[in-house]
Amino acid sequence: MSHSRKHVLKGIGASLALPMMETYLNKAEAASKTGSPKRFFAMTQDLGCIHDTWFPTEVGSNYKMPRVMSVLKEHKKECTVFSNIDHNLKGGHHAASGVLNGVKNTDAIRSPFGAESIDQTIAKKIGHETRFESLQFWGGGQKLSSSCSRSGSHLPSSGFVPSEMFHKLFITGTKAEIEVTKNNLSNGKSILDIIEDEAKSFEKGLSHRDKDKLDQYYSAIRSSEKSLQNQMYWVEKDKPKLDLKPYKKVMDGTMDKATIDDQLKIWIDLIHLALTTDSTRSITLTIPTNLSIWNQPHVEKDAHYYSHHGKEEDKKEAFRSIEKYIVTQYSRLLKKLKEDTQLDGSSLLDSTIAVYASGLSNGSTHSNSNLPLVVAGGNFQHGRHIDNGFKESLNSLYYSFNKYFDPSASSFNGATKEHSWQEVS
Amino acid sequence: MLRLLLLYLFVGSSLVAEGPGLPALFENNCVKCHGEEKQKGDLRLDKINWKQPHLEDLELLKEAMYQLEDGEMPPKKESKLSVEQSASFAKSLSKYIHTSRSTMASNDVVLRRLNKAQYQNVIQDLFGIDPVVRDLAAKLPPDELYHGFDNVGERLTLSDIHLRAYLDSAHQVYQELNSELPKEKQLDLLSSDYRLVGSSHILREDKSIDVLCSSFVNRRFKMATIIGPGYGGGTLEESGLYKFRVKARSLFTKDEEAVERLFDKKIKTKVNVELGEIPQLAFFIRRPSRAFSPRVEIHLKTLDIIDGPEKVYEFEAWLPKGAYSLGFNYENGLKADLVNISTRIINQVEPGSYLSRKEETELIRKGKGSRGDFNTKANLQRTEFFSKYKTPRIRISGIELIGPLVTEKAKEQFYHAHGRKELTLKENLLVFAKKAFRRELKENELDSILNKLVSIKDKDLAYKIGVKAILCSPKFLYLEESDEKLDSYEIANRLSFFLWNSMPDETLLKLAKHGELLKKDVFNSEVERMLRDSRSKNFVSKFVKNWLGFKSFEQMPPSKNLFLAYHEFSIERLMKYETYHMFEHILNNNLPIKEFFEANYTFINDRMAKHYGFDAIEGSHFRKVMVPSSHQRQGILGQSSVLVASANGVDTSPVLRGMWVLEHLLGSAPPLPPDDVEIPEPDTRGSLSLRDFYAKHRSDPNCSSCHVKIDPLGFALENFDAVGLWRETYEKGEAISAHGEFPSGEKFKTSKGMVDILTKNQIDKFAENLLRKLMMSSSGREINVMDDPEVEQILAELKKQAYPMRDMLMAVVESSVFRNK
Repeated sequence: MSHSRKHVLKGIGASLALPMMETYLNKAEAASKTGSPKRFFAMTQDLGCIHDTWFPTEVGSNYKMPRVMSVLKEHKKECTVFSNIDHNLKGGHHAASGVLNGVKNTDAIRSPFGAESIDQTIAKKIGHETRFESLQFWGGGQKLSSSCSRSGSHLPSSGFVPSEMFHKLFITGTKAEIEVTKNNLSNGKSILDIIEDEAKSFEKGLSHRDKDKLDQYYSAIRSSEKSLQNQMYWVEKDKPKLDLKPYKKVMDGTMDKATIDDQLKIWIDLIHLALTTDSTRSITLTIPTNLSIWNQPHVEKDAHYYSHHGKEEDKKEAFRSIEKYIVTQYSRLLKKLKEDTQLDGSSLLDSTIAVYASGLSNGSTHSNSNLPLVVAGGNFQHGRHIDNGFKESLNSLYYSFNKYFDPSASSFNGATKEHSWQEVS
Repeated sequence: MLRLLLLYLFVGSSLVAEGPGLPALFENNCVKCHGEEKQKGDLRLDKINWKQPHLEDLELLKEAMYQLEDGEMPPKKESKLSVEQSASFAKSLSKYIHTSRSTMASNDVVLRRLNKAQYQNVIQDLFGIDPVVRDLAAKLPPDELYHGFDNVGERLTLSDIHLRAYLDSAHQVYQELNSELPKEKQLDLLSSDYRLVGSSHILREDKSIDVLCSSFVNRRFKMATIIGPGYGGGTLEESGLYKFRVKARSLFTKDEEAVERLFDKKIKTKVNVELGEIPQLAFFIRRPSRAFSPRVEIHLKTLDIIDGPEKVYEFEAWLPKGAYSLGFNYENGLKADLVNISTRIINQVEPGSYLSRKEETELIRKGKGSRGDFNTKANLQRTEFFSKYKTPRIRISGIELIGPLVTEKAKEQFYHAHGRKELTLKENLLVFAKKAFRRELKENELDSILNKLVSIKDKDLAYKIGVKAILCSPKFLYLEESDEKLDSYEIANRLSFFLWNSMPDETLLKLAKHGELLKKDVFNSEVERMLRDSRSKNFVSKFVKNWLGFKSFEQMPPSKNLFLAYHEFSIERLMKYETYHMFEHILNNNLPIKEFFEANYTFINDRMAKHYGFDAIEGSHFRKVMVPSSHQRQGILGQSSVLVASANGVDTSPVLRGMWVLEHLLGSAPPLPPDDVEIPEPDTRGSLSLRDFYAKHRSDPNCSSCHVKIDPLGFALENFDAVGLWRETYEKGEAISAHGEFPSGEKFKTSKGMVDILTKNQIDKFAENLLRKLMMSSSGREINVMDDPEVEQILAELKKQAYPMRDMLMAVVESSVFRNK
C-alpha cells in the first residue's frame, strides 16, 4: 500500500467535524415527531463461517466469544449473537442471496408473499423522508445487492465503486447538470402520464392472466411516480456539504482500484457518512467475498478457494482471517455509530438496527443451515448468545424488525409471529 | 385385485370411474414412504386430486409412471408388485393422464416483456447504439431464469427498477445521438492532432510504431493509447459506426535468437513471448478514469497480423463520442510493459544503463532534471534497445478512422431519434411507433399520445417525449399476443425473437402484413433466410448459453489463482465460442443430435489448441479440427465450456458434474437432498480418497437412490479439471480413475466409455430434453405434461432419422406450441 493511500484512509471519517454531524442528526430528529428516526443497516457476505471459531458454546449473557467473533468484543453488550437460526433454504450459493428475504431467488415467483427483503420493506415505510429511499452498497460480480424487490428482482448496487457512490451522496451537480436532471425528471413525469394511458389501451385485448401480469406494470408506474416526485424535491436541494479534501482519492477513482480490504473500509466510512448526514435510513452492504484475494494474514488465494477447505487446517485458518477482517469492519461501524450523539443524548446506534449475516453457513458443505448472524443497536436487549435451536425462523426475527419500524405490521414474508429474542428468560 | 381393477379401468371410461382404482394402488404401494408420515425425496403422493387433477398432480403422476416403467419404484426389496403388475400400473396411469388432459384447459403463454438481451438488441436495431460498447440498459436487473432460460413469461417480472431503467435508457439515447445528421470524416490518428501514450510500444523515426507488448497483465495502465484533441481528450465528436483502416505488418516472429538472448535463464522476470504464433493486434475503446467514472475498456476487434509485407486491415465498429480514447496492444506479445522490461531486463543485459523510477525521483529531488527529461531519455533508450534486440513485434504505419458512416440504415436510425424535418409530428411518430411496436397500428392508436403532446410548443421536444414514451410503453416492452391462434405479426415477432433475439426486419413485417407469412412455403423459406442471416448467431449463443447453463461462468468463474491463464487470455469467451460453433455446425448440416456426444472433432483457434495441448494451429479464427487420437475428448462433454459450467470454480465435484449432465442434457435432475439427510462435509486432508468418501455416502440408503444415478456420470469426467484440462491425478497426487457403472449395470472405464453408453441408451431422453428446451425458448413458456402428446409425436417422427438437428428446429417452429398463444 502506498503512503498516500494510507493517509487518505486515516483521513476519512475523522475529517468531518462533529458539530456538522450533529446539525444533520438534529435536523432529522426535529423533522421526526416521534423522536430519533429509526434506521436499518445490514451487511452480508456469501461464504459463511468456520463454525468452531464463530459459534459460541455457552448461551445467555455469560457466553465466551470464540476466536473470530472476539473482534466484536468491545460491543459484546451492544449486540446479540445467534446460532442455529436460518431460512430453511437449500441450494448452497444459489440460496445464499436470500439472506435478507428468506426466499431462494428461483422460487420467488411461487412465493405467495413475494420476495421483498427486510431493508426494502422498511424503506417503503420510511424512505420518503430522505433523499434516498434506500441505498445498496457494492454488490457481487454482477453488481447485485442482497436487497430484493417484492417481485423477486435483486436490486442493482447503487454504486459499485466508491467514486460513484461518493458522487451520488455528496456532490451537488453543476447548474447545467441539475438542469438536465430536472428536464429528464419533468419529461419523465409526462412520459409516465402517457404510458398509463397506453397501458389502459393495451389492456383491452388481454386475457385474465395477462391482465394480472400487467398489474406489475401499473404498480411500477405508481412507484416510479413517487420516486420521481421525491427526486424532484431533492434535486433542488444541495447535498450535504463535506470538506472534500480528504476524499480526493475517493472522488477521482483512485480508491476504486484499491484492494478489496481497503474498499471495504471506505464503504464502511461512506455508510457511516450516509447515516450521519441522514441521506438515507435503509442501507445494505453486499460484500463480494468470492473472487477477491483479501490482503490478510495466511491469505494468498481467493476467498472462494479457502471456503472449500475440506477440513484442511491451513485453509480454514486463511478463511478465518478473512472473516475476522470483515467482522472487524462491522465492529468499526458500530463504534462510529455509538460515538455519534443525537439530540436526546442517545447514540446513533441506539436508533439503528445493524445486522451482520451470511446466507451460507459453511462454504465447504455448501449448507444454508445455521447462518452466522449478529444484531446490534436499535435499543434492543442485547448482550447474549441465543441458541435458536432452529425453532424460530430468521424471518420471524425480521418480522420483529419490521414491527420496530411499523407497529401495525402483521407479518414478514410468511412469518406471522415475532421472534422471541427479546423475551429474556 | 389388480386384474379386476384393470378390467374395470378398461370398461369404465369416465374419470370418476378410473379414479378410485388408482388411489388404491397408490395407497398400497407408494404412500407408506411418500405420504403423511414419511416424504422420501420430499415427495407426497397421497394428496392427488383424482377427480379434478391439477397440472402439478399430473406432473407428479407422470414422474411416478416413469419410475414404475423403469422399475425404480417401488424399491425392489419392498415391492409387492411383479414386473408385469408394475407395467400395467404404469399403463393405467398413462391412460389416466391422457384422459385428464383432455378435460383441462390448454397451456398458454403469459404476457412477457422483452428480456434484457432482447431490449438491448432492439435498441441497437432502432438507434444503432452498440450495447457492448455503450450499454444503455446497464441499470436493468438481470432476468429471472426458469430452468436456465431467460425468456419465460411466468418468471419474468417488471418492477419500478425496470421502469426507471427504461426511462433512463430513453433519456440516454438523446445524450448519445447528436441532433444533426452526422457527417462522415476521415481522421488520421497517427497525425500530430493526436497523442500516443503508453509503454508497450516504441516510436520509430519514420513515425511508425512498433508494438511489443501484450499489456494484459497490466492492461489497465500501459496499453498504447491514442488520445484525441476533443474535450477531455476525446477522439470523436459523433457517435456512430466507424471504419478502421490499419496499415500493419509483423516482424521477427520467428527470431529465436533475439528472444533467447533477452530471456536468458539468468533473468528471472517472466516475460516470454509466444514465438511462432501469428501476432494478434487487439483494439479497445477506453474511457479514462476521472472523477466519478472509473476506467472502462471494451474490446472492439482482434486482427491477425501475418508476417510479410505491410497490409491494410479494415474493420467496422460502433464508437461513442466524448472522452474516450483508443487503445491497442500486441495480444500475444511480451508479457510485461516496457517500463518493467527496461528496469528489470535492460539493466541485466546492459548493467547500469537504465535508471529506475526511484532513482529518477531521487535525481529530480536533487534538481538534476525533470520527469519529462527522464521520460524522453527512457523512451530513447528503449527504442534503441529494441532496435538492437529483435523481439517479435507488430509495426503499424497508419491508423485511420472513417465515419460516422452515413449508410441508409444509419440515416433511418437517426430519423428514429429525431424525426424527418419534412414530416409532421404525427407522421414522424406514426413511423416510429409502427417500427417500435413491430406491427401495423390500429386506427387512431396514437391519438392519446398526440393529445398529450399538443401542448408542447417545441415540436422537436414533443417528438422526443413521444419517442421516449413509446420506448416505455407496454406495447413496446411486452410481446403482444392476444388470441389463441397467433396472427401473422405475432408469428413474425416470435420468429425473430427466437431466431435473432431481436425485432423483425422489414422483409418479415412485409410478409406479415399481407398474411403471406402464414403460407407454409413462405414461412419455411423465411426461417431458412433468418438462419442464414448473421443475426442467427444470437439464437445460437443465447440458446446454448441457457441450455447448458453457461450463466455459471459469471456467477462462479474459475478461481484466479488456480487458473490464471483462464483470466489472462479471455479464454472464457473462446470456450463458449467453441461450443457455439459446434452447435451451429450440427444445426446447419442437419446432423443427428448424437453428434453432440460423439463428435471426434471440435472448433477451436490457436489459443484453444494450446489450451487443450493439441498440435499448434495458426490464427485466432475458429475452424474445425480433428481431436488428436491421443486425447480423450469427445463431443461437448469434452469441451472446456461444459466442464467449467459443471464445476464450481475451485475444484470439480462428481456430484455437481453428474447433476449437470442429468439436468442439462437428460432433463431429469433428482431433487435436492431432503431435510433429514445430513450432507457429509468434504474432507480433503488425505485420509480418505474421494472415491471412498462418496462410496461411504452412497451406502446410506437415503442417499443412494439418487446418487447411484448422479455420481458415476460425474466420476467419469473427473479426469477433466475445473477448467477442462486433462489430469491423471488430483492436487495431492491421488490417482484418478474414471470407472463406474450405470444403474442399469453397464460398466465403463473412461469418460469416453461413459459417453458411449449414454449415447446408446439415453439418446431418446437427450432428444426429448433438447426438444422441450427449444420449444420453451421459442414460445416463452414452460413445456409441461399438457404438451406431451405433441412432444411425443414430434419425437416419434424425428427418431426415424436419428433426430436430425435442423429438422428438430423446423418441427419446433411448426408446432402448435409455437403457433398458438
